[in-house]
Amino acid sequence: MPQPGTRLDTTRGGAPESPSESGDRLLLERARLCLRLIAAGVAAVFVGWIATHPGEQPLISLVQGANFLAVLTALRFMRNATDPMRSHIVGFAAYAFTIVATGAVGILADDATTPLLIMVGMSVVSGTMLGWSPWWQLASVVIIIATAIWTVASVVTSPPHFWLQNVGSVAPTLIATVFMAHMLRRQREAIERAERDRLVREEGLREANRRLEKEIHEHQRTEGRLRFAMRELDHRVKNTLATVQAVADQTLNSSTDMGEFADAFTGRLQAMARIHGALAQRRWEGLTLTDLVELVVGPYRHHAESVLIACDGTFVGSELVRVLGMALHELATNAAKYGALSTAGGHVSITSRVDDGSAPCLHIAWDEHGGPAVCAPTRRGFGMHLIEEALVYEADGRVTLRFPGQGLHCEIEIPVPPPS
Amino acid sequence: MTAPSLRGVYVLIVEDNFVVADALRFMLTGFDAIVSAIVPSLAHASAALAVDRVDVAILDINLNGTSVVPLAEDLRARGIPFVFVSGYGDEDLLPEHLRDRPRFDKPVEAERLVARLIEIALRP
Repeated sequence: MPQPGTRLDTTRGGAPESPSESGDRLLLERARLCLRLIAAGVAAVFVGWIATHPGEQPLISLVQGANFLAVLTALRFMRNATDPMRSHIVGFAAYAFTIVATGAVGILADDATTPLLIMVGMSVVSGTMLGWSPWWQLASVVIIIATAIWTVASVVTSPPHFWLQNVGSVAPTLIATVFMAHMLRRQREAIERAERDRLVREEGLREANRRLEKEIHEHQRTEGRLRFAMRELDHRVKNTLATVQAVADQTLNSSTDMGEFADAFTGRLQAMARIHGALAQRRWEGLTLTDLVELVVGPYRHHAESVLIACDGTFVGSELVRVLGMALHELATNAAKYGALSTAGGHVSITSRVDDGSAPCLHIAWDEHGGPAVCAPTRRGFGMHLIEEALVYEADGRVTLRFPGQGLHCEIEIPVPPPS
Repeated sequence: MTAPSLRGVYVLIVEDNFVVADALRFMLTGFDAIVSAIVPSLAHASAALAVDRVDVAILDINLNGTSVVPLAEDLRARGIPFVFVSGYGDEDLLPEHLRDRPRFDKPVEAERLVARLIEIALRP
């Protein structure tokens, strides 16, 4: 089919010819030349024969002439191989006409065998068009050859005017038949090739479709994960805002003036921000205890010895990090305001160990030395409240605060959850 | 017009974050409520229900990854009114028949929460 917008050459569709197509073309050209030569020769003999035998068999001559014209016309139309339907129709019409004409010639010439044989041959050959088995095609070739031999034999044994008629009848019909059979076979092969190509293309399309579906599925999964992550983030933000509001409320409740509130609130907010940042960096999995203590208490270090951290690499999950971090922050600010970190000579040591008993437990000890003499506070602010209650509440922990003269001592025990 | 008051109302607060629960307790106490307990988990809540008087409960929908729905069903069976508090998306954890219960987004607006608690706890 010519494609719109494509410049065509005069042959076919602009596509390069395959070897079998150029073979077809050669055969077509040869068949046509052969037919023309025979047609010209026989026509010349006819004209001479009709001129010398005017009243003998004029009807036969007329039928032969019409037969010639029919076959030539058919070949002319069949040249256009890009329109298989028209070729079929024209070919069948030519067949039908040739069969009728040959039969008529046989009856007029009192010879029934020649047309009969030709008709059998042609019907067998035409069978190739219906997609019959290769055995039928072989049979048709055998019968065509037999017809040719019989024709030659009859030509040799018949009177001159009669064999001229036979050649006139048989030769073009034979050539047309062979040519037609060849064309039809080619067309059938082309159809089969197109069918195979179509199947290959269909399989390619199906494969592409499968790939596309897979990609879409992947995309949907990514989108789902992203939506989940966004929801998770929103959830976290809402909870964080709730915590910030609660911290602000409670800081305000335990502050005596705005200056005190501002200092305490800013310190708590900054501790929360540092913890949040560190957790986010570690994809919310958690921190080692050493990292957490350094993160929260480290900023209160005056000099190298003022904060001593001797914690192991115990890993603390993100939920516990949040509340333990807040408690450590309160201990640190308390030390900076009233305890060991409020003087240049004081220092804090933070040590930890894990008890691997029947109920595994994380012990953290906070010891202050060298600061001003301490005594138990008379008023418990929000900070102290948070130190004593938050870990008990959220982590089933135990917190013991003691105030010996040399500095505050805080003992934290947190049950380690069995590995899930 | 008298200031809103939750005088004589026993409130149970179920919230996994201590600071948030504590602030809520402080706020409700300021409105004359009696906070029966603040609890971080379903087990603690059941223990509190067994010994403390509870007139109304405030439930955080998502308790550190655990849904509060079983407790809500329990309260419904006992005829104790409750309100939900949620971060974004938590309402998906609720079954259909609990979605018409009052629900407050975090951070909670104190006045709205108190007004609603008065409405459901002091209903004649």
